[in-house]
Amino acid sequence: MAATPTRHNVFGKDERGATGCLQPVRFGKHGSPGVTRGTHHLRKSARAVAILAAVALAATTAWPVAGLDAAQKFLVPDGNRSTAVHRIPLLADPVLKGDEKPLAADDKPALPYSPRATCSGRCHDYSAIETGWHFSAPDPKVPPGRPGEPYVLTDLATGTQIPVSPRGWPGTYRPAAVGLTPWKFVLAFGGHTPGGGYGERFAGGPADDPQARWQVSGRLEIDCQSCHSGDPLHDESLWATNIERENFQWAATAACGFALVRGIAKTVPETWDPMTPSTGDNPKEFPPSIAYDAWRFNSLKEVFFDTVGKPANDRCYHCHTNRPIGKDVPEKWQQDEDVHVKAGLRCADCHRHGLNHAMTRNYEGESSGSEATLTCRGCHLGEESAAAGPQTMGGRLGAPVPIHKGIPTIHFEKLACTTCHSGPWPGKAAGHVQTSRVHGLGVKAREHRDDAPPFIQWPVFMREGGPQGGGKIAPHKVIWPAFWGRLKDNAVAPLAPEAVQAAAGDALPAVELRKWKPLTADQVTKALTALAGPTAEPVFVSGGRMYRKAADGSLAGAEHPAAAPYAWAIGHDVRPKAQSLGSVGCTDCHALGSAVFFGEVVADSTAETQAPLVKAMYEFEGKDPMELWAWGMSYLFRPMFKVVGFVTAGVMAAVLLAYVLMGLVALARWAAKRAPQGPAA
Amino acid sequence: MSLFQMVSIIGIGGTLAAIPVHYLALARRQPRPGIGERTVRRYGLWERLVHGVLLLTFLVLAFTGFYAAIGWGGPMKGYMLMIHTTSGAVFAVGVAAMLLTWAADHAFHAYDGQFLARGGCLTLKQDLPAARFTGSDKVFFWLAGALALAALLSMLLSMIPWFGTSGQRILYETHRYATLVLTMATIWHAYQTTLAKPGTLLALVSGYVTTGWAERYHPLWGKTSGAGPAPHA
Repeated sequence: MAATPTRHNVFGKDERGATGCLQPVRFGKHGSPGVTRGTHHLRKSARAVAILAAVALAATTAWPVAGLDAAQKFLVPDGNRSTAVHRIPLLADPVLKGDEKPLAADDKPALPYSPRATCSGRCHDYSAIETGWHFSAPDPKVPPGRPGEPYVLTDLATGTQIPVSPRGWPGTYRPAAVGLTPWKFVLAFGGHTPGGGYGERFAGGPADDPQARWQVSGRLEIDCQSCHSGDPLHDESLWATNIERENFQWAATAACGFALVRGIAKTVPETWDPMTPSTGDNPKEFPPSIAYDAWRFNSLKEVFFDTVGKPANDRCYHCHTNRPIGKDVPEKWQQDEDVHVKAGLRCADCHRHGLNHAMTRNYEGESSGSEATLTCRGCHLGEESAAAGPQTMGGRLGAPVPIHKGIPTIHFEKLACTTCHSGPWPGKAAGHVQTSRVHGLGVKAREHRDDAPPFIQWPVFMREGGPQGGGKIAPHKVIWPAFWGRLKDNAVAPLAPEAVQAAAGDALPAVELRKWKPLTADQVTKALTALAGPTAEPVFVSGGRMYRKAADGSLAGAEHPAAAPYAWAIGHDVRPKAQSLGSVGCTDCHALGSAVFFGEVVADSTAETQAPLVKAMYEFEGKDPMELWAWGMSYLFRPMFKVVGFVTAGVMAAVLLAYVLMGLVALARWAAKRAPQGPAA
Repeated sequence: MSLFQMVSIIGIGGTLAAIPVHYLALARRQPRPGIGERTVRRYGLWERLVHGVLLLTFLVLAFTGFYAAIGWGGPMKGYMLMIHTTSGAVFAVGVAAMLLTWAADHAFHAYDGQFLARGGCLTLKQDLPAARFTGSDKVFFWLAGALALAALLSMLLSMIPWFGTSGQRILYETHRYATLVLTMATIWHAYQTTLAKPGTLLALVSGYVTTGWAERYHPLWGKTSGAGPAPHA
């Protein structure tokens, strides 16, 4: 009996974890252990090596598709505005399947279709697309731009809610810094991504999780249909669910709407081969399987993809939804959507890109080219700095030109458009909101709680670039980081939650969402004691403070830069003109105790250790409260000021007019005297 | 540097620069009749009060306004803005009182035309015809009234939701340039009625001038109809 050949996963590691050379995953058609499998694997190995040799130059970033010249490979659109009907064959990963023949509904076993192979095979340059904004978060070559919504690593047991971003926005932490390997990142957040990124191009590598199971799960390719599907059956909830199950390469198929995916790759061993039908002899293993809707396949094995060039808003909402929460928040049916949506616009009408999918985010300063005409100002007022052409005149997409009656122009220098027009109407204190990506909204059967972490507040009016930054004031969402870390040289390096829980033991027991309660001071103290080590002092950051053990063993908390909130600007929902700040009058903002300046921001904390830290909006805006109070006070007298002003102006005008008229009369008389008098009588 | 910054610096700076030139070339060489017993009543209490209010508020407005305009190109903000607007209200009332108080005395007559035609304050000529107020005083009076009205109205109208962004810009520029010209004119007026006309400054406080002063600078005061109330002890 031939020895079972050593199999290597995508990172060259065999089942024992030993490192081999980098080579693609191999699955045999008849993958059961034994001679047959070994022989078949030898044949498969030879073919795989041949394919790899053909694409050796692109091995680091691209799947080994057929080695055609990329310049000749892809179709170029001819400019027709109608969307091409996508009746196309489904293709699987050729390395998985062993050939490039289209999938059929009755294939045994049925394999998941590969978006890369299917969409990129003839038409769309995947390698260009995967550099796009949604797929390139870990790419250091893509400029991070303005800080945006982070992912939030949440751990209820340790009271952790820490903003994470591969883009390195100030105030966020890189995934690796909090123990998130590419594998863990995909598991934690992949359900609210369209694939790619850590799931594909940046998967694996020396920094990845040694427990990663890419050889079983497959890569999480970009699912083009996440955005471009017009099929109402396309279900992003199934995408998310399958990612949780480690069914990465099945996720796109599960979501597509014309296949049923069952099974959980998480339950199968690392040696499992998807080409091998399950024997079902292990009740604990539930391998992924697919049943395609046969009626969706025509006689040429083509499937109709209801594909749209410009996605419907529902596609965007799966990842970009805001859900206000709180006592006085109206229910969903009572809330209105963005005014642009009601005007008939789609998200993609403003947030655009070319083939490279470098989507515009449309904030001022993002671009100086023609994309600058897609900002609020650019669309509504025109943008002189943008490339020449009629689009610089404003009025794009029928955007009305704002008149802003009665608003001194200084407001447009000091405030972003969103200050008055976006987000919720400000109240006495910042409210709370849940978002799709942070709270995992939109996934069926997932439990939620309004009063458990992660906590996000909005709107918080802040000056972009910091209180003394000199930027414009704009509304933001804010998260107060909560995490355990080590303090060294006044900088806090976060600890991975699992490491904290392992060290803290019973002090921080695992807890379900429905039973979550804030940590107590005693728990925090015990955990800090457990984390004590020789290298750096353990600390707990939460609620705007950093906590450490005092000399007497008590817990001492104080403000610290590491505890400062992370903020990202609010763009939506845009309210209509009549509901914008200033529509009632100047006192919407310029009044004693107005929410914009004096509204409270109570720092959210995952622990009840001290009285909550309370800040006022003016602290984030870098404004002097006395000055604001005095200015607000002046508005009490403003009506009288106007009356006195107009009366005195009336008096002045009357006197001036009277003497001007008298002067004109005198002038007329003088002119009459000098006129020829005619012959003497 | 913005256009207004530049124009302000040139305008105000130029006016201030013209003062020593005029003083050295002309004013210093004029006879100085202000010495002596002040027996001629020039200004009543009300007139001095109005003038005092105008003087103080003008100084506050000019300082707060041009500190921002020249300092960093404006606009004003914070406490400066609050002081400016509050002073502006008082100034507006003062200008209305000024117009009501002195409009009749500043009506133009034929001799004012002669005063101006003969060079007025820009000449060494003496015995220029002038009643209670000279021709150049009257020109400043009406110019100040009109400019103050323009400055006041431009700000008042911006507080009412009638004008959009382009209108607001026009109102703002109107205010700025009106107050710039007013400031330049007021600086010259202040010089003309103090350094260039010795004996005048004390009149703003005491209300009295000397007979020699009255005859030198306002020879027609009280002597012709419409020349203002006759000087009296």
